[in-house]
Amino acid sequence: MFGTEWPLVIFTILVQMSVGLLIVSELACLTGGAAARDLLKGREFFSLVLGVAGLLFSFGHLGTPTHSPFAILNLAHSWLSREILCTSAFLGCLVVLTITRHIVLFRAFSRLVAAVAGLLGLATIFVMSRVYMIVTVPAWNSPATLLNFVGAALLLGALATGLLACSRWSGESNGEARSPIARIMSLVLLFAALGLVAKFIEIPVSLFAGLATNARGVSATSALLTDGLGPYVLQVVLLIVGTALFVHVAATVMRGNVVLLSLLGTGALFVALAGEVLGRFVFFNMHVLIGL
Amino acid sequence: MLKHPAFHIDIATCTGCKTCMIACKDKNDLADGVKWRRVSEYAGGGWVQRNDNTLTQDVFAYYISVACNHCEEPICVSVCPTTAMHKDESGIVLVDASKCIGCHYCEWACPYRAPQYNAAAGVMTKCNFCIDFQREGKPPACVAACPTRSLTFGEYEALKKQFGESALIAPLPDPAITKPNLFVTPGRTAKPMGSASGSIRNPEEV
Repeated sequence: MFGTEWPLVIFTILVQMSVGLLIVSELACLTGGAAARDLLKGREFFSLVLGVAGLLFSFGHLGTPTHSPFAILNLAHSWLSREILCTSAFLGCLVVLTITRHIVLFRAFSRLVAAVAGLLGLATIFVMSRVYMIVTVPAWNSPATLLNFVGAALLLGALATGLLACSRWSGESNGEARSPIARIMSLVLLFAALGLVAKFIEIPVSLFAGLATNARGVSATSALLTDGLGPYVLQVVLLIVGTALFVHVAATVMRGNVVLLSLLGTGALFVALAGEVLGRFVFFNMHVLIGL
Repeated sequence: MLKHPAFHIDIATCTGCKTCMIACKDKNDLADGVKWRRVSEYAGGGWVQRNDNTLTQDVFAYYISVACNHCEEPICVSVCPTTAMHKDESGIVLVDASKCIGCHYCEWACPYRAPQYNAAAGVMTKCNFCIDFQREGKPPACVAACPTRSLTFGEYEALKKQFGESALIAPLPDPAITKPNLFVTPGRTAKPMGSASGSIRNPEEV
């Protein structure tokens, strides 16, 4: 199960987290005003670092990475070409956003650039899910793939936004001015909940899609329920525990307590991340071809 | 050189000897684990109770030799991000190794498992219909080696005229997906496409 696809596991999760962080943090700043912008300062840079790291890991999947410039030659037909273009455009937009926020002359454009980056991020997640929705792979060729990726982006993006905000709040303001952080945490909890809901809708949809048995007598669902049941259950448990831990962090923030906030927030993010990684290995293990 | 080459496999006479597989590996000097042609053993059946409470059996087995079918609508070509996987002027699907990034996407998508990864070269490889032999007027190595003459090749239209529409049998996938240039003559025990009455019994070989 934990074999050759690890570069794609890391690539997809980091890029989805990058998109989620950008969208949730930008929305938090829109609703939270100047105080929220201070608490989430540098958000676009963190998003860029995650995305670039993910892209670099994706090269580990290639047999001949030196040929990678050719990978956008089939935009007319290949979703993989489109994924590479969208991811690159999203990351390029994040570079521009980072620059516009740091150079006073361009700062007026930053809101527009952020909106474009958000839209490109959403397009990236859609195209990324289409890469795996192959007509000959029934378990992947369902809306569950999109739900899985959107859920990962929302959940991890929300937790990363929350961690960034509460570590700044406890470190720099030492727990002062509770109103902006409370607003950010409310939004973070809303998006984390949406992400978790997407994940829970995805479970039955993917199990149903994976029922198709191929000529080898194998179905993705039967393989999952026999060999992969342990990791499958563990990923669900980790996602729930990670989110629950973050709810505890949010409740601690609402009470104005700063003790161990960053540590707990980091723990929550890493537990949820571990769940996503495990779940993504399970996803790749559900590749069961029809036919021969 | 044929204008529109296609394969024909006669299931009724194929004995599953795998000489075609070996000839292909030998001719193309394929690396360990890389199999451009594979012979699947499709088998099933068991004991069946008759009306008089006695038992009989309906055990069956047959072999199907499949390489790349150089499909009319090859999914490997449409998913390939680099255009390394392409069709030439006669419809043969080829890999341009100077463009291939070895992303395995064609391997994930092809329901015939035709694209095969060469780890040493870092690129995908596949049956090229022995295009070099064909240019010399010789048949592909697999066809030439078949001792029962179950595996043949020819112009698509000529094969269609000779054998009619290809039989839709298990374990082959729905041909509507990729429109393979493959004609199949079924044997006596052949099961219809999508049948769950059997399964491939030699998955480690194919």
